[in-house]
Amino acid sequence: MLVFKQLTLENFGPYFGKQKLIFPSKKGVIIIRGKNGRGKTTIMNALRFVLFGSVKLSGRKNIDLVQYLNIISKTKGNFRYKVILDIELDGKSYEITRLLSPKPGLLCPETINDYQFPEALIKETTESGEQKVLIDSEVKRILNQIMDEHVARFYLFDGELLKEYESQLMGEQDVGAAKIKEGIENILGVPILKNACEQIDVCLDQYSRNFELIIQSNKETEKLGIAITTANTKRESCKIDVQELNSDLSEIRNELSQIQNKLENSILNQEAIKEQAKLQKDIENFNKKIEEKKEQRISELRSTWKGLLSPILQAKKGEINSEIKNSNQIISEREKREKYIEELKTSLNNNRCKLCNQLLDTEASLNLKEQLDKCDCDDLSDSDLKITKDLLLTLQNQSKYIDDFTKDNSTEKICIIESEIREIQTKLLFAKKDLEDTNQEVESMSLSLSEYQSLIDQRDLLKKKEKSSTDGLEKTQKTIKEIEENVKKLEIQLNHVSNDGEVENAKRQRDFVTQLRDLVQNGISQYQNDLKKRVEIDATSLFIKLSDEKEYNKLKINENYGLEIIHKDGEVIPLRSSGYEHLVAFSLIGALHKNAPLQGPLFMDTSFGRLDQENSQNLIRVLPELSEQVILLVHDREIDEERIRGLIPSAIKAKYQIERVSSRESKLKLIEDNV
Amino acid sequence: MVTIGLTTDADHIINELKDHFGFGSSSDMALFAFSYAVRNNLPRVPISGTQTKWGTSTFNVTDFEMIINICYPDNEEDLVTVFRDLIHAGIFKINEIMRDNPDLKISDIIS
Repeated sequence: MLVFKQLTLENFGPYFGKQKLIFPSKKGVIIIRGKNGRGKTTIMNALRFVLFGSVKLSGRKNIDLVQYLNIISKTKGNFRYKVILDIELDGKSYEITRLLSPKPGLLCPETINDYQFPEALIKETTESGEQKVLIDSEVKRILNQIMDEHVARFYLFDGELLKEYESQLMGEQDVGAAKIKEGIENILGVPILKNACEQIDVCLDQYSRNFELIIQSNKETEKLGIAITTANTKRESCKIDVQELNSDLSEIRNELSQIQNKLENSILNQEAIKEQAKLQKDIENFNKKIEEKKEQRISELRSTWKGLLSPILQAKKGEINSEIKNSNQIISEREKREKYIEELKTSLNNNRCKLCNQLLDTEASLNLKEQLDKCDCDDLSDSDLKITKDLLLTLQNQSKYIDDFTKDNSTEKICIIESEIREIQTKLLFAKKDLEDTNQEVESMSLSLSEYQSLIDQRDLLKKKEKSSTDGLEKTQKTIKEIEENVKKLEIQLNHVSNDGEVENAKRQRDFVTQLRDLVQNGISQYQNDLKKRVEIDATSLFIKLSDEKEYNKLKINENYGLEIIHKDGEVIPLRSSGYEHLVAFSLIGALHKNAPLQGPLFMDTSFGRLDQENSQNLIRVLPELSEQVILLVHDREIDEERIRGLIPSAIKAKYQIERVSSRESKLKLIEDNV
Repeated sequence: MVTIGLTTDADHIINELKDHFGFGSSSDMALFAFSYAVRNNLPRVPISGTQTKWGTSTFNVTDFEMIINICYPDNEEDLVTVFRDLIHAGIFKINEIMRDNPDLKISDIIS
């Protein structure tokens, strides 16, 4: 069992001075949260540095280690940085230190050549509590046991680098794939068995030689013994030839594979150039659309102020209408009264009632006069009437103005246009990022015509060499077979001639070891197959928990431990999304952890970026199953912490925040410790 | 000819706001600021030391006169002065909001 206890960074990347990350010893998840550019990936790279002495990123390129020197430290004249990792391995405590420091005598180193190679130093804490410095061979052994560099990405998982890794695993002829396969088998314990087989081969050699010596020392079998030894010597020489031819062939095939890759890339390059042109066109279109939308916005903004006022004017219209009603009422009453006065006056002038046409007596006339006087007293003055009429006109104009003003004046259009601009701007941003990536891709793959032709020539030459080596190999193997047949015949003759018990005994011993070697070899191949089967079963089981696509029901392992998704109808899913690449990788990670003789921690940087909500939730649920120590490096918007707590409430053991001090300095702050 | 003036500060701010929100001209921005002030019943800002920015022909006089008459029926002051003061009130307030939220959009203001 491997447990990370503490990581100390000193002037590494943005971490100025000495800063510590203490990993709780209890099984669970540790969250390290920080914004982009604050130093999450630097933590992973510090681990790569301390474990492997180098930082290898995409394209299998090494990053210049000088770049990790903290700038503040550099300006203060300190050109050294150090990473210390405290671990517990199978119950023993070790402290691994790696230091990058200038060559002696150099005060201002500039390039990596001015620095000493950062050798690892490991101290073992003994039972008495003392620290013992380990010798080089022990250091190498411990580092190999902890983590194989070729599969480190499965333990120091960087979501952004996964695609390249997956493609290596799926390409069965690739040299990188073979190394990764070897690395995976290292983790799974295959080398122990292979070493055992090599030791048996050494024994077999000794027993064979012993057998030959015994035959030669016996007078009856001396001649046969010499013939057998000569044949065996020839066979051994042929075997050496086979080894050399195999080694040549392997080199030729490696070279061929590299050239083939370059040629394929140049074909891919055509695709990338097409993609580049498409993205450039997209960007042009997006820019054009944004300009069009901005023009629309200018035009719309010309009347937006009306939309802003419409609600308030609509409200005012209610008040205006009520005033119009009042004014109309006053004017209408005035008109009624005028008509009544006119009737009274006419009745009095004619001394006859205008309504009933009867003559007025004195009393009725007096009564009408009284009413007439009263009306005159109550009446609105003409000037007031005019004011009221003017007011009415103004109010009516205002009401009509509001009707015209509020017609078709909404603020919705501008909101829609702004939202459309934002949407196109987001698409533009993504297209620019994709174009940047594609430009890099095109640049890295670009070949001139002469380079292309030279590669074709090299490939043809290598193919000829491959053919010649293969023929040589076949011929030598045939010779070995013939020699072995011959040796068999000689040994049959030997059986007839010799009755010596010593010869019999030596032969039995040799045959026994031969059988043992064959048995172990078969065992290894059986173990490798079983291992693959177990990894396939465990990876499938995890994948089903992770994936929300119920029609994908299996993962199938290939020769290099690459995994293919199998649809429930048995078909292989040919093109899987980035999100699914992640899910497959997580499944393999979990299966490797489960089957490895050495269980270890798992670091995951920006792992949720390409997963949708449902798959992210599934991944959170299985996190505790992936490893006993899971360290999540996440940025603020990547995943909602409450969601993690809701799904795996008791699994979070500690939380760190990477805080910004300045653009050149970050600090690690423990903000929650649940142990 | 009747003119409308802005203080140096207001002139500077109105140009910034115009560019930020994507208005076609400063007069469009001014009308928006005026409407914002009316809609939010902002108090008029006492102004001194303005410099001529627009002639009244830049704007539809009927519009701002009508709106001021409708929304401020008790107003007895010169309508152009009220219009100018409300433009100032609007741009200063929008600028204040934008200081707290530099990504402010027109849709945020009108919603």
